[in-house]
Amino acid sequence: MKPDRKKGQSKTRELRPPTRSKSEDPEPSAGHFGLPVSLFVILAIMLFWAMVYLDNHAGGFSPHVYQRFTSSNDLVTWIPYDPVRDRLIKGKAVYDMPTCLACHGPTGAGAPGQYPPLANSEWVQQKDPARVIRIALDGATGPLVVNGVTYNGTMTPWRPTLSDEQIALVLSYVRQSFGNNAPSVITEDVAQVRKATAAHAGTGWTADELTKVPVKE
Amino acid sequence: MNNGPFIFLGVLLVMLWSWYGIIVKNFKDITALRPQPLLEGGAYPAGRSGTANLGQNVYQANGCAACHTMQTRMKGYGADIERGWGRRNMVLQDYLLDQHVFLGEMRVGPDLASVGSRNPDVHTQLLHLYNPRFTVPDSMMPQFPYLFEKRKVRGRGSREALRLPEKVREPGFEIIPTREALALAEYLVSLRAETPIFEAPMIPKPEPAPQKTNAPAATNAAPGTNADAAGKTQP
Amino acid sequence: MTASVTETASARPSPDAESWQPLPEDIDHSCRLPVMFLFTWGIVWLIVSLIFGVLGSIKMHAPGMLANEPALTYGRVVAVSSTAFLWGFASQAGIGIALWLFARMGRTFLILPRASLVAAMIWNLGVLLGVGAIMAGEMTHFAGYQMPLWTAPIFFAAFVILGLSGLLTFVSRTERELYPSTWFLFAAFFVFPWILAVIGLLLGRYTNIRGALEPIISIWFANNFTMLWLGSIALGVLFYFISKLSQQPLYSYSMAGFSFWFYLLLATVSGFQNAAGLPNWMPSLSAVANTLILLPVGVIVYNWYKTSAGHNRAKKEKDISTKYLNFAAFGFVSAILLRTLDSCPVVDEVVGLTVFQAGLAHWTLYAFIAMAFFGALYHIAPRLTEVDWPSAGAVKAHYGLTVAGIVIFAASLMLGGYVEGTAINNPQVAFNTVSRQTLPYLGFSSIGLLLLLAAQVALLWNLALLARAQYRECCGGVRREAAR
Repeated sequence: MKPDRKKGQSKTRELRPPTRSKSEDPEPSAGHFGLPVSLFVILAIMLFWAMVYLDNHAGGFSPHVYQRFTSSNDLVTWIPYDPVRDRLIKGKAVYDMPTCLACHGPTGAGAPGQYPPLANSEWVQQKDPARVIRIALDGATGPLVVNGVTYNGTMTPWRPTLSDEQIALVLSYVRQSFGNNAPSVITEDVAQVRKATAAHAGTGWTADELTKVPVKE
Repeated sequence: MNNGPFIFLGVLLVMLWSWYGIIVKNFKDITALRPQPLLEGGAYPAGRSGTANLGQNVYQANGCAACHTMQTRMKGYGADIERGWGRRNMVLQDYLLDQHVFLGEMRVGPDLASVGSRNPDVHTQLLHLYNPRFTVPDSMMPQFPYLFEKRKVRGRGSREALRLPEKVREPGFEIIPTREALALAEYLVSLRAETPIFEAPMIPKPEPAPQKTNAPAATNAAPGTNADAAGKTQP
Repeated sequence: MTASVTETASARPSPDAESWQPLPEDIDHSCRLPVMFLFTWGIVWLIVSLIFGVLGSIKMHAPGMLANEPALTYGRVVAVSSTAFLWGFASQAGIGIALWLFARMGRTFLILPRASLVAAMIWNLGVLLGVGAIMAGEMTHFAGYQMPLWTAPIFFAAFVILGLSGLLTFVSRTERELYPSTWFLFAAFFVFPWILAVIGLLLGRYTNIRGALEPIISIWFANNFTMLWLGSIALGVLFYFISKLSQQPLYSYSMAGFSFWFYLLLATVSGFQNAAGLPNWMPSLSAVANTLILLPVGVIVYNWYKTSAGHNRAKKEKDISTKYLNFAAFGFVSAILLRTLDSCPVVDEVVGLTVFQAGLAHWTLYAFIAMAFFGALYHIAPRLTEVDWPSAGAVKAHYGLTVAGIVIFAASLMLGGYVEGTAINNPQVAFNTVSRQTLPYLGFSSIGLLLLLAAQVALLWNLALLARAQYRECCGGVRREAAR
C-alpha cells in the first residue's frame, strides 16, 4: 500500500480542524503475567466435583433416566418388573411380525378349512412342548386334526428365519394366550430340538411323525 | 495464540464437542426409540389423527408455546402431578411421533402435556379458544376469534356452531369454527400422557416383597427369564 | 499524506512498507459505510423490538386488546419482539463492532466495505421478511429463531460476505500479535454460520428429525446464539475497551487465553438446565457447565480488575463508553451467577419454568450484551463520522433510562417468577390465583420496557443528529468549496 493519499481519505480533511477533543489512544496490548498454579488446582477440584455430580445425576447418559432417578438400575427398581409379562410382550412382538399373525389371526382363531386355530388347540396345550417346537421349526404338512376338525394344508417352516430365542418367546406367548394355559418354552429346549431334528429340515411334519414324537407327562 | 489457524482448529474442536455431545448423541438415542408395544395391543405412542397433526401447525403459528409448556415434571419435583396436570412426567417417548414438540419455556398458562385428559371435550376447547374468558373468567390468555367464522343462521343452524354463553349470543348469528380451529382443538384433545411406560412409572416404589406374577401356571418361566431380566433396559 | 505527519500521536513514522500501518482515522474511514449502516438499522430494529415488547406486555393485562387481528396476537407479537432484538439489533450491532475491531486491532483497512454494505442491506431485508412472515402466521417456536426457516439462507448469504470481510481483514492484519478480543471475535464468526447451518438444515430442510430432537436443537441453537455468538462479541468488546480506555495493557495474556477456551467449552453445552421433558443427563450437564464456568469468568473478572486498577481515574470518568462497559461487565458476571443459581435443582424446582426465565434471558441480553454494544457504539460512531455526539443530554438520558429500564424489567420478572413458582408448587393454589399473583410483577416489567423504549428513542435521535452533523461537516463543506 502506498503511503500516499489513502483510499477513502476525505478531501475535506484539510478544510476543517479535527473535531475530536483528545488524541486517539493506542490500541490495546496485553501484559504477560503467567497463570498461577493455584488456578489449575482449583480447576482440578472443580472437574472432580463435576465428575461426581455427573455420576450421581446424569443417569449414565441414558435416554431413559429422567429427573430424580440416578441410573437405569435405580429406575428399574421403581417399576414392578414382571418377567413373565415381559416375555409375553416380546413373544407377541414375534407373533405380530407377522410371523403367525398372517395365518392364525390376531386371536389365534385361524381360518376355517385353511389354518388351524391355536386357541384351545390340544397340540399347543400339551405340557411337553416337543411337538409344538417341531411344528414351529419345520412347519406341518398333510392332514392334521385340531379340536376334531381336520385341516389339510402346509405351514411355513420357521427354522431358517427365527432364532431359538424367538421361537421360545412366541411359543410361550401362544401357550399363554387365546385361552391356552400351558407352560412356557425355554430357549434351551428349542435349541436342543433344532439340533436333534437337523435331518428333518426342509420337510414339514406330518401328523403321523408328530404322534411318534415321545412326550413327557 | 497468535496463530489464526490454531484458533480456528481450537474453536472447531469446541463446536464439535458440543455438536457431538448434544446433537449427535441425542440423534442416535432418539432415532433408536420405537413405539413401545403394549400387551393390550397397539403401541405407545400411537400417533395422532391427521387433523390433530395439522393442529400442531396451528399451535405453532399462533405462538402458543410462548405461554404454555408441555413438560410435566416428575412427582416430587414441583407439584405438577399433584396439581392434576398429568399422571406422570413427560418423557421423550411421549413426543416420539410428533413433528413439532412444544416443550415451552414458561408457564404463563398451565402445562398442556395432558390437557386432553383434563378437557377431552372438543367443544370446550373450541369455546376456550374463541374467548378464554367464557370458560375461565379471569384468564390472561388472548382470544382467537379469527380462527372462527361468524355466519348468519340458516335454517336451524349448523351443528358445529359454538354454544356461546347466554349473554353474548347474538340472535340470528352463529360462530362456526374453521378447519384450523378444529385441528387445534383436536390436537389439544389428543394430548394425553397417561400410558405407563418404562421411563415414567406411575405407581409408587413397590415393597421388597416377592412380586406377584400374572401367569397362572408358569413353572418353567423362572430360570429362562433371568437372562431377560438383566437385559430389560431398552436396546 | 502530508496531513498525516502532523496528525495525532498514534501515527507511526514508517520508513519501509512492511512496518507501515494506516492511521486509526483512516481505518475508521474505511469502516464507515457498512458499520454506520449496521448501527443505525440496529437501533431502528431495537426500537421496533421494544415497541412490540411493550405491546405484548400490555396484552398481559388486557388480553382482549388487539387480539382479534391474527397478525397482532400475543404469540406473534412476542416473536417479532424477540426476532427484532436478536437478529435486527444485536447481531447487526455485533457484526458492525466486530468489523471495526478486526480492522483496528489488526491495524489494517476493512476489506470489502462496499460488499459488506450490500450484505448488511440483505440482512435487513431478511429481518424484514422474517418479521412479516411471523405476523402472517409462519412463525416457528424455536426460541432463538422464530422466523420461518426459509429465511435462514438469506442470513447465511449475508454473513458469508460479512464474515469474509472480517476474515480477510483479520488475515491482512499488519499487527502480528493477536489481542484476546480477536480470539473472541474469531470464535463468534465461526460459531454463527455453524449454528445457523445446523438449525437451517436440520430443522428446516430435513424432515426426518423426529420428536424431541426439535426442541433439543432449538435450545442448543438459542444458547449458542446468546453465549457464543453475541456473548463472544460482547466479551471481545469488553476486553478491548478495558485496556484501551484505561490505557493500561491487559493484565495477563495467558489468563485471557485460559478463560477464552474454558468459556467456550462450557458455555456451549449450557442451556438445558431447566428442561423437564428431557433425560436427566441434559439438565445435569448444563448445570455442571454453568457451575464450572464460574472459574473462567472469575479469571476474566480478575484480569479486568487488575488491568483497570491502577489507571488514571480522572480520564476514565469523562468517557461515555466507560459507564456502559462497567455496567456490561457487571451484567456479565451477574448473568453468569444467576444462571448458575438457576441450574441448582433446588432453585430450578421453584423458578425453572416460570417468567423468571424471561427475566434472566432479558437481563443477559440487555445488561450484558446490549450495554456492551452501546458502550462500543458510543465509542465507535463518533470516530466513524468524525463528529462528537451532539447531545450530551440524550446520552445521559439513554444511560439512565436503559439502566433503570433493564433493572426494573428483569427484577420484576425474576421476582414475579419466584412468586409464581412458589404458588405453582403449592397444589392447593388454583392456577387462576397463580396468574393473579404474578400479574402485578408483569405490570412492573411493562414500566421497565417503556423506560427502555424511551432510552432507545433518545439514542436514535442522537444518532440522527450525529449523522446530520457529519453530513454538514463533510458534504456541506464540499458544497461550500464548490460554491466558491
